Amino acid sequence: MIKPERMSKLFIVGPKSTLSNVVSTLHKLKAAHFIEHKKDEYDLCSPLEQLEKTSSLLVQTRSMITHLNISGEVKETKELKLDDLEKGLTDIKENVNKHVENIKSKEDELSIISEQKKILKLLTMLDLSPSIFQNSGYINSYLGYVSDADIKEKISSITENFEIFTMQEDKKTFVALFVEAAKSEEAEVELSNANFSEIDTNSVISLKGPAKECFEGLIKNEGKMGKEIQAGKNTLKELAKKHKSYLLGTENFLSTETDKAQAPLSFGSTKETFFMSAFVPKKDIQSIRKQLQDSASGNLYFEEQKLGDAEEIPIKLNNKGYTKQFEFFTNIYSLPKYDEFDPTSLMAYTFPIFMGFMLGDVAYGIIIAALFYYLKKKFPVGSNFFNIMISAGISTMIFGILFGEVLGFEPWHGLIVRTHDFDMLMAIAVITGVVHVNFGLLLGFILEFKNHGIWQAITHKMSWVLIQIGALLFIGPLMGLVSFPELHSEIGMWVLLVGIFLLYKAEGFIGIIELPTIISHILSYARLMAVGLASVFIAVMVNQFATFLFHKGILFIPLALIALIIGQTFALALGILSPSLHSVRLHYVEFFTKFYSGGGKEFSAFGAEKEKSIL
Amino acid sequence: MAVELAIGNGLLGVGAGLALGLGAIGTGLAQQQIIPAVLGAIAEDPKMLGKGLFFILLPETLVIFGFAIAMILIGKV
Repeated sequence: MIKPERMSKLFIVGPKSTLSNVVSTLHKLKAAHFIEHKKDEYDLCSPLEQLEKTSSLLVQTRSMITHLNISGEVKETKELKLDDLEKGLTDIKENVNKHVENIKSKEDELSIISEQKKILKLLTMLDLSPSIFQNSGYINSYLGYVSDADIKEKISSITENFEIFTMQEDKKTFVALFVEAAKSEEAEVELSNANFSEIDTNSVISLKGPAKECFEGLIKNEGKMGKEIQAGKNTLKELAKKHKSYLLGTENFLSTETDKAQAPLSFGSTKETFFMSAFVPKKDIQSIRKQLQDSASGNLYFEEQKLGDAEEIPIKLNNKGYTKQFEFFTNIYSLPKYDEFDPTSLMAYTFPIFMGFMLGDVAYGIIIAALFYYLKKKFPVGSNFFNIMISAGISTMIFGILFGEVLGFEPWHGLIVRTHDFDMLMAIAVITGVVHVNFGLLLGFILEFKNHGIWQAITHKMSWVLIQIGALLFIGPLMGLVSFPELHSEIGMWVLLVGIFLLYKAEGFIGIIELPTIISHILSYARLMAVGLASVFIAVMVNQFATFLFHKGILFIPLALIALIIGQTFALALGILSPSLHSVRLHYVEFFTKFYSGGGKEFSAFGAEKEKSIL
Repeated sequence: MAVELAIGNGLLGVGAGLALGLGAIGTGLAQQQIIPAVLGAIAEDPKMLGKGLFFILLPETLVIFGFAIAMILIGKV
């Protein structure tokens, strides 16, 4: 549990005739993490025959799912036949495409109508018929806006043969100009001098009759189109309802089949055989071998290979029950390397305790547990995180009982009264820090010892412990924090010097620079007290304010209640956010750095679905 | 004598305030640059959330120390 799942590297060779069965079995087992074969003297294996067909059907199915706007989960995957699927899908596709195209063409027409309406609306204001903008060869027509109100005079200086209609609109002038073709170029120059922005009339010139009548006709037409589109959409909805489970099931089946068909691309091959290597969990290796051998009628050859470089081995976290959900934190930090400890189970107990210690309030605890229980029911995707918060809520409740706090009030006298016993809280926080940090160093020591030998373990990890002891014995009395007889002080000095020397041996000069971090890391646990006190004092202040209002008179009672509710909600929101983040931080920064570097890559088993997370 | 004590207490109070306030300013200055960078990194790759959180919370130690010192000073008043 404290280490990631132990792995074996399995090398498999078999005749190509068994490839399809072997892949199917591997997919069913969901236990093999393929190691990609890189092309060398042996070629890559070619995909299974069905790939082309399954992937093309998959694309069609997905496009229909998008068209029909279907979403949902498939409960079980049925075995389907590709030929049946092809026929079934073609029928649905023809039906769906017919409606989709129909809707699309209607929507295109609608957008043209709305364009026409805009122009007609303008023409109605000038009382012009749209058909007069048709190109006649003798007269050129222009419709648009100009910034110059004197456009009429300017055109009249060019020619007499023109007709102009204008209307003032804000700062611009809306203008319809008809001018003899021979003078049109000069007129265009004038127009462009007046910042002419043209409105394209092509879409309306085919309409007959006055603009107003055309406009009304369009509105009728528009209503009809809208109804037809709606009818089409309703038909699609019915189709979606009818085919939902079939399409989702098909999509699921086809994507599985496509995955299977592509799998051999990670294998290597000779003319008649294929070979592959994969990481599999060590404890399952016998059953995996047996099932694979059965699927290939005993024609496979297996070899367990050396695991090789620890960095290459994929990581499958191996926690069960209560600790399992805390893998959430390990995942967002970084997966452990194969030879490192999995910090999940270590965090599973200290995270709720730290958070509970900081927040420590019976009512907040109950609210947090209830809130996250509700969220868990509502959004099962995030259940890991919500479970963590529920356990933190319970811990908050227990500490609330110890501190005697309910919503910041103190209905009973707790073991520690947080608003007074600062020193006690500080001492508990720092002692927790010493224990937690040194536990981290101990884990680091064990790892260093296992992976690099005793000397590395002593210089890299033990040195820090010596420095702490030395500092306590030597510097402690100097600062008046603790008092020991003379002798201890001298011993302390030597222990400190030995510690520093060992650290220098391990890390060089950087180690000396980093010396103060051990103190800052331990003192950092003072946040257990500080964040906690901040949360208490916010609640106490809210309560005091509400009580103050409460005693002001009967009219102020509703106000007092509102202040209490808003204030307590704010305090609770801060109380969820701040202690949880700080509790996580104490693990990530102060604890993990002592033994954990992470950076392992995830074990992704062939055939297994990716776990969904709220992130 | 009583006046001297009051001044001493006052100075302790001012010291506590400075410890917490300056710590908070320091934390704010540091986070002001860290948080946009972290948010950018998370936008690129949501897996950075864990490491990002680590960096965001790093400077909060300053204000926590300030708070601890303030508490010690207030205890002496």
